[in-house]
Parts: sequence; structure tokens; C-alpha cells
Amino acid sequence: MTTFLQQLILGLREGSLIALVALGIVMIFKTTGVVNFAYGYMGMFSIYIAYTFLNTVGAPLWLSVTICIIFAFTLGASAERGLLRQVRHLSKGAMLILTLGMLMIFEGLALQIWKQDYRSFPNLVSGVRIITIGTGRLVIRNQDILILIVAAAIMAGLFIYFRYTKTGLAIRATAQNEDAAKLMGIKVGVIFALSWGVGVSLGAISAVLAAPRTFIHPYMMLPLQIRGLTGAVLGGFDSLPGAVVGGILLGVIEQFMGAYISEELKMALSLLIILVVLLVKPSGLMGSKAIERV
Amino acid sequence: MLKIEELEVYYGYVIALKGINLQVKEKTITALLGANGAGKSTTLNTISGLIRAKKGRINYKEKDITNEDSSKIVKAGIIQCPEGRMLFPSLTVKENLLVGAYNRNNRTEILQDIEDVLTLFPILSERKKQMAGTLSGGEQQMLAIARALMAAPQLLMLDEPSLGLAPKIAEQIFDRLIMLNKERNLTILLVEQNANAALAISDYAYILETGKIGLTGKGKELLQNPLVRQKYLGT
Repeated sequence: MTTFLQQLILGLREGSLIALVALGIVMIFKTTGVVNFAYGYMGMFSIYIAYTFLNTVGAPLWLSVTICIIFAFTLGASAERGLLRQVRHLSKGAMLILTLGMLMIFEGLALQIWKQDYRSFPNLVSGVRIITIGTGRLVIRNQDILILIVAAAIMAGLFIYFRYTKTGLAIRATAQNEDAAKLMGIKVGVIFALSWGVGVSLGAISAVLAAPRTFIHPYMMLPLQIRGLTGAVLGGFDSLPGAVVGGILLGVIEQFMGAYISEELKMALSLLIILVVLLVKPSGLMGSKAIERV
Repeated sequence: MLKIEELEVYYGYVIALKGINLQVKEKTITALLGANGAGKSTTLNTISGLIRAKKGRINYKEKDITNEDSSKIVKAGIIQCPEGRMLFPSLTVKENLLVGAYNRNNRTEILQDIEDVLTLFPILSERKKQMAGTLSGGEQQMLAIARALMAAPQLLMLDEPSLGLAPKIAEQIFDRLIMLNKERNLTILLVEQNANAALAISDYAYILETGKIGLTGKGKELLQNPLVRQKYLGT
């Protein structure tokens, strides 16, 4: 019983991180119609900024993290404004290739500036809780609890933002029909830049939360990005709640596969499960029937 | 109110508007008619700022608005109710109306106007919380017009509001347009393929023929014009 609970908690933690990544990817996809392949790398690049402020400049942790998130927002918004907007009129494919190019640029830059070394990043909160249930014991890190809280807060915040604010409504409208949104007087350019900014910030936040265990290095976000994409597909790719459900589910499935069947095969086995789900329901768990933007 | 001079628009190298002149006077209904591909929607989309003009001028209330950003055009008081309705299918009826009022800030006035457009199209008030995509064709067209009205426009441009609707529903929509024009002094620029209905309600009309203005005149006069009758009314 305690093993089950322990694995569930770890799975939820991994799932929350995957869900945050999936949420950012889906948000950018929904509003601007492009899958951002550079997503994880932009998060990785942002956390190096936090690392530099923390260790080279000597700024406190909270300040370094804040700067990192502001940097990520600016990075996302200016990538949209300066690069993707320029090829928007060509095709969605051109934008996709551009994000692949950005992936290589950020990878190269990080390797040049910070080398391939693994660097440590502190937990935002330290300490471990031990809960005794009968004869078993549950070990829960405070950082893991924080991850769950932060992910839940962001998801709730985004939900409220999209449902109840004017800008949130404008983002939803733009995602559904860009030309109609323009005709209603919405500055869609601002909306695109905004969703890129928020999306990439989510990537930076997941990097900050994951870094104490993955360490900081140029490829640190690769596994999360792949699983984030998978979680997003599982959820339907064009649905924000779907990204959350798909992400968390993927994390939990993976954890149980690792614990009960085989640690080595956990990724393959979870992908197999997802394949079966998609065979039965091709639009994903919560996706709309037809996804038009590719 | 709106004055278009020598407007030229290209799609790549293909010319779509070959220098058209057109005027919409205040408080009138002006119709813009023509066959498929004549350039009617292009004209509206150029006014709305979705397409860029290569040459010519668009003046609105003595101000040059050629190639302005679409959000500025809406703020100036021109709104387009586009062809095929272009609603936001996964937003509710009420949310669609709220997006229509995007450029306005007075919350009480916006809520008042929502009540107002719902009395104008009562069927919509029963559907207020429904997704726009679940409405019938006629209801969707009504919502598209209601959404445009939420911008509190002075000039309403409609692109084929009767397209794909049952004659009875189309008639209802035209009745509403007359009412908006007569009782609320709303200026209307109406693009239509249904020349009969459009000419009957319009004060002035222009007929576009592959990028050029062919005929122009008062709506009821054009309705009697033998050339128009033969070409566009099929009699």
C-alpha cells in the first residue's frame, strides 16, 4: 500500500512537470498554429540565466528565478515578434522549421557559453517529510509538494484568466478564427506574442522545478519536452485541460511502469499505452474531432 | 461618410480591384453587387484593413484610413460582418457578443447593449449560453450581425448576409437591416449576390464587374434597368 502511494506521489510530481510543459506547447499551438520544437531549449536557456544570476552575480534564489521567468517571457514574445511573425504569411511549415532552427541555436549557444558540464541548482524548498502508515513509511520531499502546488496554481490561474478576463477571451477568439478576431478589432499580433511569452515562461518554470534533480545542462529539457509533446497528444493537442490530464496521466503511468514492471522499459511501455489510446480515440482524450492547424 | 477613390488591390500579381470609386453616404443603405469573383469581398476586406491596397485612397469622415491596422478601423466606427459568418464556434453566444465589444471599455454600456441586441434577435437570448457552433444557419447569421453591432459601429458592412439561408430567414434578416437603418440611423454597406432583395432595400447601388464598377445608381432605378434585369435578376 505504501509503495503504491509513494509511486503515486512521485508519478503526480513527474506528471505535473510534464503537464506544465504540455500546457505551454498546446497554448502556443492553439493560438499561433505552430508546434514550438525549441520549447524545451528556450526553458533550458532561461534557467542558465537564473543559474548565472545565482552563482556569478550572487543574487538571492527568488530574485534569480524571477529574472529567469521574465527573461523567458521576453524571449518567447520577441521570438514570435521578431522571427515567426516574419514568415507567418508563408506557411505553418515555414514557422515549424524556424522553431527547429531556434532549437539548434539555443543548443549551440548554451554549449558555447556554459559548456556541457552538469551544474547543480538548489531546491526552492528543502526538507523531507516522513509519514508512517502502519508498518510502511512514505517519504515526501517538500520540493515535490511545491511542484504539485505550483502546477495546480498555474493551471487554476490560467483557467480563470482564459475564462474571465478580456484578454483571455481575445486569446480564445484568436485561436478559433484569426481573421474574425482581426475584424473585431483584436490586435492579433499582440495576442501571438503574449501566448508565446506565457508559453515559454511555463517552460522556464518547469525547468526551474525540475533542475534540482536533472541538473542544469544543455540537454536537460529534452526528456521533458518529448514527454510534454506525448502528454499533449494524449490529451488531444488542441485542448488545454487535455494537456493537463494527458501530462499528469503520462507521469503516473510511467512511474507505475517503472516501479512494477521495468525501469528500463517504462518509457516504451507508456508510449505503447498511449498508442493504444490513440488507436481507440484518435482525437486524444479531450481533443476536438478535427484539428485543422498543422 | 465613406469615400473610395481609384482603389487598386492585387493578390500577388493578380489584380483584384482595378481602380474602383465608391461612396457611402451617411444614413443610407448602399449595396455592392456582382457575380462571384467580381471583388466584392476584396473591397470590404481592404476597407477593414485585412488586405493592403496598392493604389488609391479610402477616406472615412474626411480622414485617410487606407491600409490602417484593422483594430484602428474598428475603433473609427467601421465594422464588418464577414462572409460565412466567421463566428467563434467554441465560444458561447454571449462570449461572441463580448468579443464584438472588444474595443469598448464601459462594462455597463456593453451589458446594456447585449440586452439590446438580444431583443433585436430574440432567438439568440434563448441560446445565450450555447456554443455558437451549435446554432442553426439563420441563428448564426443573426449572431454574426449582433456581434458586429456590439462594436457600436457607425458604418456596418455586411458580406452576403443571406448566403445559404432559407428565403424566409433571409427576409427576416433584411427586415432587421432596414429597421437598423431607419430607426437607428445606422449606415450600411451591403454586399450581396441576391441582387433582387438587396436592390429593393438599398438607396444606392454599385455593380462590380471583375474588379471595376460597371453600373451605379439608385437601388429602385437599377431594379428597373433592363440590363441589370437581364444580367443579375435573370428576367
